[in-house]
Amino acid sequence: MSTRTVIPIGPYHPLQEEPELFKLYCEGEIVRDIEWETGYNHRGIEKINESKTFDQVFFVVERICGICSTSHPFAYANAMEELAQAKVPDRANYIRSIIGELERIHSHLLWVGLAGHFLGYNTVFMWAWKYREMVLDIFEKITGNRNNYAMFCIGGVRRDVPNVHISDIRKMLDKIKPKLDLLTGAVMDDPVIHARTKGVGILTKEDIIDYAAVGPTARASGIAIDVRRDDPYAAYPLVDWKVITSEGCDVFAKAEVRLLEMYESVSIIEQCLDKMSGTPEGDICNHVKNIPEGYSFGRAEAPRGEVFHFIKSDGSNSPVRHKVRAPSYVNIATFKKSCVGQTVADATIILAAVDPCYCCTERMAFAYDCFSGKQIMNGLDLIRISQQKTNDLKMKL
Amino acid sequence: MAAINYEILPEILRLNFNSDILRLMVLQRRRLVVQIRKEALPEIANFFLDELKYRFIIASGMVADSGYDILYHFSDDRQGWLISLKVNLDRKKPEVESLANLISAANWIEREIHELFGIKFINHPGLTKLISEGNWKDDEHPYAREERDNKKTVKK
Repeated sequence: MSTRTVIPIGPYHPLQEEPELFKLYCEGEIVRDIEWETGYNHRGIEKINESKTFDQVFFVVERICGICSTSHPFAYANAMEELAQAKVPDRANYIRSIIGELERIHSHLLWVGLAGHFLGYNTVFMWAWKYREMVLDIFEKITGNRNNYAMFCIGGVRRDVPNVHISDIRKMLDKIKPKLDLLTGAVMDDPVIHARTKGVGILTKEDIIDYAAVGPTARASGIAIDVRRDDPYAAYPLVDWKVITSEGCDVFAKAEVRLLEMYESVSIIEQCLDKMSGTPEGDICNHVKNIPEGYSFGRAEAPRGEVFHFIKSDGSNSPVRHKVRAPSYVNIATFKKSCVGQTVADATIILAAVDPCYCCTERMAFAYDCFSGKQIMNGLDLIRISQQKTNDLKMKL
Repeated sequence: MAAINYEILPEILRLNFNSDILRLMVLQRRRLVVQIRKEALPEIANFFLDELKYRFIIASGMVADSGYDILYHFSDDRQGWLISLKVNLDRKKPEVESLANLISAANWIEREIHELFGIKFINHPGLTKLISEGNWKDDEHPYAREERDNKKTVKK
């Protein structure tokens, strides 16, 4: 039997909702098996929520994920409003969708930057993060925060986006569109990116169904699921947009889906702004007094896929049980299919392709020889060999 | 596959799994909870996944009056319905057949429920701890506790 080397990736990652450790079992350059460990930073948020009131839960679930911080309050609000049968004012629905889509743009831009970095395209990394800044600035303007916007409450939103701010958002969208063209062109037309990502990390339709993967991971394998369309909420049924899918099944397809989704997000925001300007300012919340007893389910489409919240209420002012399912929980499990049989140099981009935010992980990764226990490679080396592979390809062209 | 008519779905379920269906609850808009006998879980879950082409979302374990409840959540993405299968387990010997061999997505959540509530999943391919390795003893289950006092009010 040939020698297997273990390459651990992880475990600590301050930006991620789920810090994790991957052990890649390699024979030479080829990954033969992958194992997953987690719980390094288990915060017990589901348990914490049992001792919070329904209103306080918003601030806890907002902190589950640092990047898509609106997706969890979104799903939770959907669940609570169903249970309380609350009617959300139109203006609040438009504001919710605008926040959700702005967040999708900045999350996807962050991913494009990281993917570029892993492949050795640091220019893409710097561009993407520079343009993401414009979105964060607009967040600061309309919500007061660059992240964790604290906009949601049961029955509506906590702060209005006054009509005077609509032109600011429009200006930002006009500025960001040519930048998206630039990024899309850089990724779609580059032969080296094609060589590095096409046919790499394949996830077939059967794999996606078996692992119940969601979001861009599923849509890149030709499965057109999107909660915004399938189980409509907020202002999504009121505007015109389409679900982006690709039949590629590989890393390139995932990049393509994310890039094209940003255009859809821009279009959704523009339509919401149009319609929002016709609704009365200040009509943003129908307050809910009591939460009845019962089960409730809430879903929302986060940038990474479907967020699912389950709530059991006993008629008091706090949940008896609150279950949260983040999209990465099902998407990360697909690594068992996508990584095995690939090379170590490709492993970083495959792991990054489902967008579990790997920007700091590499600092913690070391490779040990199974037998001697001697460190032979660390996370920076992993990035280095991935970037080296791109350079080699460039030289050949 | 043709769209499912949710007006007749309860009938279809009763026809196929007559005595296994204990209770059917249509909640809110497009939400259905089906309480079943725990022995029939693999069969009905298989019917949901293979015949009705539902997507498995997740399972939620919780403490209930008479032991533990597990809700297996499924999604019908064509019509936006959420269907949950509910099983009730005995407090003294909480055991249920694993779905991990049926669908890989159930693997992690069953490990998680096992360590949080101490529920045993029969025939699970590797029922080891998922999230709390080294934090609790093997026989300590952090979420397993007595039912909360009825309508306890949390101080603001």
